[in-house]
This record gives sequence, C-alpha cells and structure tokens, in this order.
Amino acid sequence: MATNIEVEHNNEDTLDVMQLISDIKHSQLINSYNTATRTVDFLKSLISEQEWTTAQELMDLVKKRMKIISTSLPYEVVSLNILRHSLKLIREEYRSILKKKKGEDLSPPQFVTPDYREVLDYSETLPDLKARLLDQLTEYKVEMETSCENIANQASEHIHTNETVLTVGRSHTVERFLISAAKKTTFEVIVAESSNILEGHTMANNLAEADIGTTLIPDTNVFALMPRVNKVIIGTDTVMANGGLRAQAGLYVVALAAQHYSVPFMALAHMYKFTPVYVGPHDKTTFDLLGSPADVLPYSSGPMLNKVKVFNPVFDYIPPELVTLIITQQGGNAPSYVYRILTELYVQEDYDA
Amino acid sequence: MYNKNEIIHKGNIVQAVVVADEFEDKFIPITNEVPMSLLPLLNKPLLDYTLEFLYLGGVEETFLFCCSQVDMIKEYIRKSIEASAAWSLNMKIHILVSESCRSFGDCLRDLDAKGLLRGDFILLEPGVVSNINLRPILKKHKEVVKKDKGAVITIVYQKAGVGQIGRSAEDDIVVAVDHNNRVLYHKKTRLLEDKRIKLPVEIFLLSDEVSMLHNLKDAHIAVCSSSVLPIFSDNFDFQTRDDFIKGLLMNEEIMGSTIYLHLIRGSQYGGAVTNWQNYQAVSWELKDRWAYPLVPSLKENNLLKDNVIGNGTIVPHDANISRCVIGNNVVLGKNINLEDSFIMSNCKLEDNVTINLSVIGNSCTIRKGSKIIENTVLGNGVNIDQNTILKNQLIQATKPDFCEKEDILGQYAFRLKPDEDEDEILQKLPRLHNMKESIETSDDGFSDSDDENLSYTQSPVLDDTKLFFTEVIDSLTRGFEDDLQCDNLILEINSSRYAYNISVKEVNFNVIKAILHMYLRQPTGQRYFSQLLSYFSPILKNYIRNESAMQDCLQAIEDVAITNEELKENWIVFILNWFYNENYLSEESISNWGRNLDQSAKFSVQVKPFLKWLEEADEEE
Amino acid sequence: MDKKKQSKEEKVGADGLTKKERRALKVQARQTDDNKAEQKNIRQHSVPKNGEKSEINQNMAEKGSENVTENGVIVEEVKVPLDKPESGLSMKEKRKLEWEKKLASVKNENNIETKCDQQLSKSEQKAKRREIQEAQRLAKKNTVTKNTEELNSKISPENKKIDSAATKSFPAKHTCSKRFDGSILSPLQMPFRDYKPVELYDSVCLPNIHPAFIELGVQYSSKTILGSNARCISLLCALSRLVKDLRTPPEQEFSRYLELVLQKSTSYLQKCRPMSVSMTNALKLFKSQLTQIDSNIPDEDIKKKLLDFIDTFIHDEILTAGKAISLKVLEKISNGDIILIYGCSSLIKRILIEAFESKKQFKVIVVDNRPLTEGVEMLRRLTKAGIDCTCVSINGLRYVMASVTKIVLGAHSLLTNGYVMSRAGTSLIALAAKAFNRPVLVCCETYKFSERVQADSLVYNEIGDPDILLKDDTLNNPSPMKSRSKKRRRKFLNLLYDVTPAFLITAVVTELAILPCTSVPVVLRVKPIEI
Repeated sequence: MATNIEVEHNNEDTLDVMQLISDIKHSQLINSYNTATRTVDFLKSLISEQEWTTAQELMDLVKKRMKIISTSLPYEVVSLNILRHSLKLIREEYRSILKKKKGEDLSPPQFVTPDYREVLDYSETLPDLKARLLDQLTEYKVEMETSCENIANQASEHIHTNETVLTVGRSHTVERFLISAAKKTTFEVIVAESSNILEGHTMANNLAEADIGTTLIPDTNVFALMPRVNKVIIGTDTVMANGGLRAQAGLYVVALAAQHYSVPFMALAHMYKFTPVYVGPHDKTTFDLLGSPADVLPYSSGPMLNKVKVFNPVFDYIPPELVTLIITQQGGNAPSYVYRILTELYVQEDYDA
Repeated sequence: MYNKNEIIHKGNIVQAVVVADEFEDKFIPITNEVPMSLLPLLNKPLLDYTLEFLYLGGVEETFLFCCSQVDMIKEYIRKSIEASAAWSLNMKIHILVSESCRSFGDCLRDLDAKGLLRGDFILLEPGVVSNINLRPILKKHKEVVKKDKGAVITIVYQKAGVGQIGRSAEDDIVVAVDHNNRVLYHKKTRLLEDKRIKLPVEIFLLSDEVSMLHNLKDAHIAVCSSSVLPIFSDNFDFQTRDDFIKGLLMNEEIMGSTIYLHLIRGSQYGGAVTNWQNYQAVSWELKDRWAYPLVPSLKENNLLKDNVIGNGTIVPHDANISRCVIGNNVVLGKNINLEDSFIMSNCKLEDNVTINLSVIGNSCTIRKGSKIIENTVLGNGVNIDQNTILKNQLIQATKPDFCEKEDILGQYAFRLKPDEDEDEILQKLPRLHNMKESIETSDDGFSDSDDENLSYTQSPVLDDTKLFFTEVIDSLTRGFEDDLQCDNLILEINSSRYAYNISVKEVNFNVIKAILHMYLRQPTGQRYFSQLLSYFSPILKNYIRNESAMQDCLQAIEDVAITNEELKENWIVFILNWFYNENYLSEESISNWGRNLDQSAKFSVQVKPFLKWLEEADEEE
Repeated sequence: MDKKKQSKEEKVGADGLTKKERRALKVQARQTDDNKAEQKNIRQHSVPKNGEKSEINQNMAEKGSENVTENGVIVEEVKVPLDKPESGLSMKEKRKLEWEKKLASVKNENNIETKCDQQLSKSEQKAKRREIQEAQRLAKKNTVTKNTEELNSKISPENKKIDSAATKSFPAKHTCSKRFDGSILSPLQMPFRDYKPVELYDSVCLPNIHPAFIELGVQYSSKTILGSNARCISLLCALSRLVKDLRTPPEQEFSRYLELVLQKSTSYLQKCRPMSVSMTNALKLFKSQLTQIDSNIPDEDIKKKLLDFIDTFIHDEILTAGKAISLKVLEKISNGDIILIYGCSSLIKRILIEAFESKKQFKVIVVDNRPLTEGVEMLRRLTKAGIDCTCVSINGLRYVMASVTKIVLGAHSLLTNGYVMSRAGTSLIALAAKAFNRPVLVCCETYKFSERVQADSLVYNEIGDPDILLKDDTLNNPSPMKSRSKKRRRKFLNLLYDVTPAFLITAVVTELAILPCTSVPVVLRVKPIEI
C-alpha cells in the first residue's frame, strides 16, 4: 500500500530561506549573478508576503534569515551581502519617509553620510514603506543587471591594441569584459586552465568563438609566459574588507608571478561581492572549503588512494598588496579604497550580522 | 504552498525508485532492529544521503520501497520534512510498503503491479551514496532507446583501480561492451570457477569492436525503461538485478532486450553500502569529499586526526584512536584503543577497552578490559561483561530462537549463530579492511611463480596430473615392450603434456616417477632395472637438463620411496648411485637435496649412507 | 645491389628523379671525387639559417660547420641525417663506409636488411642529389618534398604550411623543438604548433642508425622515458651498445668512424625530442674522451676504454652523486618535517626513500601538475615505500604552504647565471615559498650544470604535445576546445620547462657541497672537463 506523507510545517516562515539555501547549496544557481537575482526575489517575496508592521520587525526578519544562511552556508557571501545591503536600504527609506513626514530636508547633503548612530528605533509604522522598498529593490535588481554591462563598457579604457591579456579559468564578467573590448581593439588573450579545467576550456572556447585570438595554457606555464603578458584580468568570488580577494584556487600564484614581473593585476567585481569581513594575514578559516579530490587525482588511480590524502581547495586568498585595481560598475579603485565603498553599501552595525 | 496530499503525475517528471532493504542479512544483528536505510553513515542516516543525492541529481519524485521496520522509516521521513531537509523541499517522497517481499525482484514485481511509474525511471539498490547528475544520463538513455528499441536498462559504473577499498571484491565484475557501450557479457568474478572466463563466440560476431573491462565499480544505479518492471513480473526467478542482467544476456534472442553501460567521469562518484566492507569504504570516501557537493556536515570539533567524532562525545587524552567513526554521546573511558572501527551513538566504553575492526551498535555497554576484535558486530543494546574477548562474532542483545548455553554471554549478550553453516555466513560478511595492511596488487604475480610453489607431497594431485601420469606410464611401458625409439616416446610424452597442460616441473617429476613405477611393477632385480634405466636414458637425458630438473628427479625418487615402504634400502641407494654415475645428477644437487630432507623420516635414514659416501668422495677429490 | 639499382630505375618518379639524373649520379659515384666533397662542404657552409641554433650547436661549438650543415639538412626538409663529409673521404670510401655500417646493423636486425640495402643506395643517391639541389634549391624546393622518405613525407606538408604562414623571420622548422624569437613576434602570434611525435613505423626504415637509438628516439618522443637522469642513462646505455656493436670498416679509424655514427644518431635523437642538458653534457664528455684515446691501440681496447668511461660516468656522476646529495639533504631533514616536492624527480625520490629508511619521521606533500601528471607516479613510488603522502595540485599551493617546513625540488639543469631550469611550475612553487618564507632546496648533480645563461623562460624552451591539454577523461564533460570552428583563433601552448630566478632559491645541493645558486660558474670552472 502506498502512503503519502502528511506533515504540517511548523516553521513555515523559514521555509523560504531553506529553499534559498537549498538552491544555493546544490548549485542550482550557476554563478553569482543568479544567486544575486534569486536573493533579491527572495527579499521581495519576504517583504510582500511576510507579516511585519515596523521597519524594525522587518529588519529582524531579515537578520534572522541572514543568521540561518550563514550557519548553513559558511562560504556564501553574495546572498548575505545583498541582505545586508537591503538592511541599509530599509533604514534609508525609513529615514527619508520620516523626514518627509516631519517636513525636514529630504536628503542630507551629498558629502555627508547619514549618521546612523542617531538613535532611531525604527518602530514607527509607515504605510508606504513597503511599496517604496519594493520599488527600491526593483531598481536594485535593474542596477545589478546592468552592472555587468557597465563593467564591460570600461574595457576599452584598460586594454590597449596588441596587448596580451592573461586570465585564469572562467568568469562571466571577464568574458563579457574581453568580448566588449574586442569590438574596439585587437588583442590576444591567454587563458590558463585553472583548477576547474572544464571551465578554463569553456572560457577559451567562448573567447575564440567571439573571434579573439586565444591561447590555452596549463597553469604551470604562467610564470614562463608572464613576461609577455601586459595585464592580468580576473574575476573574483569576493572582495574582502581589507582589499584582499577571495578568488578561485590557483590565482594566488598567478598574482605572485604578476607582482614579480610588475604586471598589473586587475579584478572585476560587482558590488554585491564586497564583504565587510576583514581577513588577517594568517587567517585560514574562511578559505578551507575543499572540493572533490577527483580534480587532483582521479578516482581510478587505484590502491594508492587508500593511503594518500588529497586536498583540492576551492578558494585562494590574494592579499591586497598583490592587487592593482578592483573594477566595479562605478569604475576602478585601488584595494585601499574598498573600506570606503563598504560604508556606501552597508551600515556599520550590520557588518557582523 | 506545498501541498503534500496530491500525487501529481506528470508525463515527464523525473522519477526514482529506491529499494530500501537488502534482503541478505548482511548487517545483522544491527539490522534486526534498525532498518538498513537508517544505518548511520558518519552519524547521519544512510537514507538521508540517498535522498539528497536524488534531489541533487534532479529527481522530482521518489518511491521508497520498504519491507521491514517501516514505521521507523516513516517517522524519519516525517521528521526530516518537518525540519525542512533540503531534499524535502522540491522532491516528493512516497513510501511503499510490502511486508511479503523477500527479494529485490519481489519488490519490483510489486511495483509493477501498482503501476505508479510512467516512462523511464532511476532505479537504486539499497544504500547508494553518490553525486552524479542524473538528468544527462536519463537523456542519454532516451537517445539510446531511440537508436536501439530493445534497450531497457542503462547501468551506471565508475572506473576504479583494483585494490582500492571502494571497489569491493564482492561486486567485482568483468564486462564486455561494444563501441556503443552495449553490454555483451557480464560476470561477477566471485562466481567464476578458478578465475577463467568463457566468452561466448556470439559477442564477437555481433560487433566488430569489443572492449573487455575489468576496471569497473558498480554504482548500483540504473536508468530503466518502462519495460523493466514487466520483465521482472514475467520472470519469477529474477531475484536480484544481477539475475536480471544475466537473464537478459542469456536470452537475448528471445527477449530482444539489451543492456547498456554508462561510465561516469571526472568528479562524479557512485558508491553503495552493501556490506560492512563497503560501509567502511563509503564512510571514508564520503569524509574525503569524493561525493562533493554531497558532503557530511562535519564541523571542526567532529574531526580528530583521521577520525570522525560525533557530537557530545568527549575523547579523553590518552585514548588511542585511529580511523574510527564514533557516534554521538558516546562515553569513552581511560586508556582505550580503537582502530578501524565504527561505534554508534550512545555507547559506553569503559577503561582499557580495545576495539579493532569491529562495529558496535547503538547504546551498547562494554565493560572494563574487554577486547572486541576481528570483525565482531555488536547489535544495539548489547552489554559485554568485563574482560571478555570476542573475535569474529555476531552478538545481539535479545535471545535468538535457537540458542545454546555456551552462546549466552550475559543478560544482554547472545551469540548469534545463523542457521546455515557458520563458515558461509562469515564469508558473506566481507571483512572490514585493515587499513594498516598495504593493499597492493602484486606486480609480478605471473603464473610461473605459482608453479614453483607447488609442493609435490602436499598439494592434492589434480586429475589432469593423474591422467598424465597414467598416460606416461602407458607410453613408456609400450615403448619398452615394443622396443620403440625413445625420441618417439619423448614426442608422446610432450604431446600428453600439452594436452593436460602440465608444467615443466610436473613433467620431469612424473616421467621419472613413471620409470621407477615401471620397475616396481616387475621387481625382477637390479640387472633388469639398470636395463630399463639405460633403455630410457635418452628420455632421462632429455628431461633432466638443469638443476631444477635434477631436484624434480630427486623428489620423484623420494616420493616413490616414501609411498612404497616395502622397498629395500639398497634399492634407493642403487638408484641414486646409478643416476649419479651416469651424470644425470650432480653431487651438488644431491647434497642440497639431502640437506633439505626431513631428518626424522625413515627415508632420510635410508639415504644417509649414500650421502655420506658422496661427501667423502667429494673430499677425496 | 646492381639488381636493386635496376629496379630503382624501373620505379620512375618514386624518387622524383628522371632516369637520366639517376644515371648521371651513378657515374659521379664511380669517380673518386674529392672536389665534389669539397664543393659540398662549401655549399653547406653557405646555407646557415640565422638564429637557428639547436642545443647541440651551443655545446658543440667545435663542430660548428657540421652543425650548420645539420641545420641546413633540416631546413632542406630531407630529414635523413647524412654523413658529414670529411674532407679526406672519397665517394667510394664513403659508400664503403655506409656498407660496413649496414653490415653492423644488419647483424642485429635481420628483417630490415633488405630494406636497408635499398635505403643505402637511396641515401647515397640522396647525397648526390643534395648537391644538385643545393645548386637549384630555390627552383626545386617543392619537388624535393616529394622525394623524401616516409619520415620526411610526414613532415614536409607541415613545412609547406610554415612557408605559407609567411613567418620568414621565424625559421623554426624543427618538428619538435621550437624556439621563441621574442624580439620579432610574440609567441602567441605564431601559427599552430607543428608538434608531431615520431612514430615507430617511421623510424624503422632509418638507415645507419643503431636500433638502440631508434628505440630510444621513439621512447623520448612518446615520453616513455621522462626525466633528465633517465634520459641521460638510457642514452649512455644505447651508446655502450653502439660501441660494442660497432665494426670499423677497413681503412677506417675507429674513433673517426664512431664520431660519424654518433653524429647521425644524435641528430636523429634531437629530432625526436630536443636533447636535455644532461644528455649533451654526457655526450660532450664522451666525445672529448674519444678524442683523447690513443688511436694506435687496437679497437677492442678502445672499446673497452669507452665502455669503462661510460660505466664510470654513470656510476660517478649520476649514481654516486645522487647518493652524496641524498646524504647531504638527509642532514637537513629533521623529524616532524613536512616536505613539499613537485612532480617526479628520480633524485628526489631517492632522497626521500633513503631518508625514510634512515628512520626520519617526516611527511611529504606532492604537488601534481597538468598535463603530464607526473605527481601520480611519484605518489605511487612513495606510498609503496611507506611514506605518508598528501597530494595537491598547483592550485592548492597556498592552502598547504603554511604547514610546509621545507621544499625540495629537482632540476633539469642549472644555468651559469644561477637560474634553475626545471619542469614548468617550479617557479610558481618557489614564488609561493618565498612569500611564506620557506626554504627552497634544489638538488642537482654537477653534470647537469650548463654554460648557458637565460634571463627568462621563453628564449629557450621546449614545447610539449598541445593535444595533451585536450585530454578529457578526467573531466565530467568533453572539452569544448575540441571544436573545429574558428580554428585559427584557438591556440594551445604547453611549455615543458621554466626558469626560476636565483634569488628565489635558498640553496643548491650538489655532490660537492651545498652551494648558493650563484656558485654555478665556479663549479663549472673547477670541475674538470676532461676526465
């Protein structure tokens, strides 16, 4: 006899975040852009469907979900950053509505950051907060969609004719960046295979299809070819608060080689990749996510596998002194400026959320 | 919102069937109380990994077929859905129960009767842990079916080297496929007699390119077409998936169904917990992240060197633990030694306990000084008294039906002796790997070494050798009587040798033995004997050419002498002397042989004078 | 032999020559013609390709003209290595010479006898044809490509390709060894690499080369023998076989004859895979030994001396040196060390296994590389010996580097400016080590020290098989780079070596001492060139 499961959900309110976590964890979302849009949608549904009356309640809801995400997915940053950013948006909207209500100046002077240490308890019920927030989020989503394009448009400023650009592995942002540059100038690209070999090959393939002269090299050749390279352009997983990068494994040695030959090392990053987490010089815990050992030693290697430990780290940390430029949709910045960008994105007290 | 009351049948929904029970009692006595799918693997139930894998792989509807302890499974599923386990969010689970099923085949027949599956589905045997993306395999299966209408099943295999712990000897297979990956021949090597494969000629006639594969590991996953279930229903003797495959291959013309193979590549991994050996292998592979992104949720405090420690378990400083998995809330005493073992939750181990290569079930208590070693399995709730030593036993907490007095070890400890022959059941439980031993394939394991190790007096005489021996005696007798040329006799002997596939050593041995036996039939004195020997001298010359052949000859003499005790001493000495004088045997070889003789045997006493004489002769020279 | 020549005549067009030409050649052959030999010398002198120096060239400077000739031969697409005409040899004697060589090799390989006979006459004819071709080179270039043997026919279409790609400033015509002329063209703008491993069936019909060398050539090009020590030892073994089997033709001096044969064999090997520094140094020493031997002593004695030399060389320079290095490194390994190694170096393996056997407690981290995956082989050997090993790829360097205590690397050769030439990827390891402040020890026997200087990895390097990058059995899906579209945009580059700057290396361990990298020229000066 067949039985169907009938269960009442006790925690229906966290069901949505579990769904999000499941999607992220099981790589149903292929790249960071997908994760970002998914999170914005999640937020929108949170705002519109959940019950809340005051801004404080809403922020609490968001913070609760942030906590769940950070415990289940310790290496996930994009969702957290977007949720953090939304906290800032909530506060801003609240302020502006409040000020409008009280008849004060609508917006503070541009060069002064609003002082969030002002004690506001955010507990007033403001009816149009919901609508305005939803509008903001839609705007934010549009901004995200155009972010890739904006970065790509800056390409011609950075790539000169007949230059040789080195990139490692696959990044959609870098791909679009280079393809956009190729429309205006001719240059060569060297693609290093990287730890995820298939991704490296796909990148090289896509660039070749876009009529860019591409050479595929194994990562071991990076040092040998570095003197011939004019620029290194890579995508990154996260930008840390100190200007360092958390990027795909293998990029650290590329950055070292670039420094040795004084080749500019440029990272392309969207705004939602900026994380207010500070990494000390010897901090290892954020980066010890290990992937399948099959990428290093195939499973068919035989009885040797009974005795050999295999490590295949997913991330590498690149210290800020190795990074020349971080390019966002707003333009290029030095790593030392990242902390300022962070203040524009998030509110200080949410840094640890 | 999520409505669990409806079963939505869509045409193209991805369905999977998990048969949640193994029917061969591989995990008793633990599975007497806990269903096999809820066995903890790195402190999480096995079923959890299976379901997460299905969800990851893209399955939308799963049918879980359970036959025993169904309530526990239902309870578990319910709890997981409450806790919003990842797989529960987008995948529907249906539990199907049948208490009367006794085998995998029975379950599928039941499933066929219920008619719940439409189209292609994924079929999992019990205990699968994997990270394979199933949708591309499904797609490929559909394409194969388009080309070959008779294709019914695609089995998924993984490449694995011999000797790797993940590749279990029980499941070792040899497969022959053609260039389209259609399976032409499939055999489990443990079912082969003396490691020989008989390939049917038809497989070479059917296709122009055949690959033989022995580097495969069974992932226990298959993609089935809708005709698989009816085939099971039609053939009541199909009990396992292997029967199915064997049946299909044997009756290809009749049934017209074909089997295809899919090899997973790259970082895809598939493993199944089918016995304790695989349980160990899958545990370690899971910990080593071979099934990434399906990873055990282990935090830093769960890992201690190469062990996995459950939550709430405190490991004392002087504990000597290596390669173990310890469950939650286990209490460990002082000075314990744990190696290559699995200890499940809520156990209590007192001081000075040693556990090696064993499995301890839930909530067991083991008192001071006990040693649980060599593949012992303790069921749930067993209490072991102080200073008990248990080797290679199955112990359960409740009294089994047929229990003799000596099998009662305590109030909650009863030795389980299965109905069948004890050897068989213990053979059925493949040993946990002793990870300290190096599991190496011998690089130089060629057949020559096997021959050299044959001990003539101890190994059972093969029928072939006996036949060969009789033939040789016949040829020699005939030859002597008819006064045939020795060259022809040599030819005869050689052809017999090839016919029976006798090794060189055996040939030498048997020929000499035959000649000696010929004399023994008609012991008419030494003159006759020397006549015989000199007649056969060309043969002797041909076969006794080198040092090892001399040893064979001496061995033959020894053998004949020992088996025919009534032979007089001087006969032996005469033979040795004759061989020595005719230079068939060198002093060295005789001396070496003499030294290696069993000094206490009568034979050695008989031979001693000759050896002594030989030594003296040597010294004189 | 005459019959065969007649059959040649019937095969019109097989060589591309007309009957008349062939007959003319035969007429020439019958004359004792010193002038022809001299002419040939002169013409070949005038053929040098600029900037085209193989490794042999740089190390065998004393044989300048012949090397140029060598180049000339190769550029001319007639790939069969020819005898370098010594000015003292007549045509007749040369023919005799080749005949004797034939006899010698025939003793070993009966089945290639008849073919070789044909080839012999063919190569003779080629020698003559060469002269004509030299004179009419510009006009007849394309027809010559058709005239070449099986081996050459494979290579000539590539040469046409190279011609058409119009990279005149980049004259790389070697099939396997490539050189980057960075000053003129970026390596990335070069046409698709013409890398073709030498196949066995091409080599079987090579005349005048000892089968040991043919076998060696194929093993080198298919990377069956990998690693500078292995290559050197296998070369020396083949060389000793050659010396043993060599029968001097009458009126020929053993030493001269051996030199000739050796020249051909090594140029063949060079084609299969560019020679390593270890090989060239060993050969250089061998040749100098050869010149030193008094040629008045009987052949057997010369042979014995040469064989002794080879044995001593292998024993002293490679095996004993390895032992000495191993002892020195053993002192530096302390209990509890975690040693990082890269790829598969026979010397490093020896060091680790001997250290393990002397009861030192350490762990090893093996860094694997793609596409050669040499690390797997190293892992197998170390785990078999019982050493506790971990494996990472280059990408995992930062993850493990913090726990590493020292790094021990092997080298292909050490350059005079102190830079280390080693497997591609070594420099990345040295860079990471520097960033984490870990000592890097490079172990290298002194016979691998080279007089070359190099400032970066591109001026001299070796290209490996580009298709190996496309091998996808370890990938989940097939590689998209196999696609045929926009082929000219898809390039692959697989460099085998790179050069690590001296300041990244802490010390070099040699059998003489543990030295700083910059002491290489001192060692080269101190080490006697003549043994």
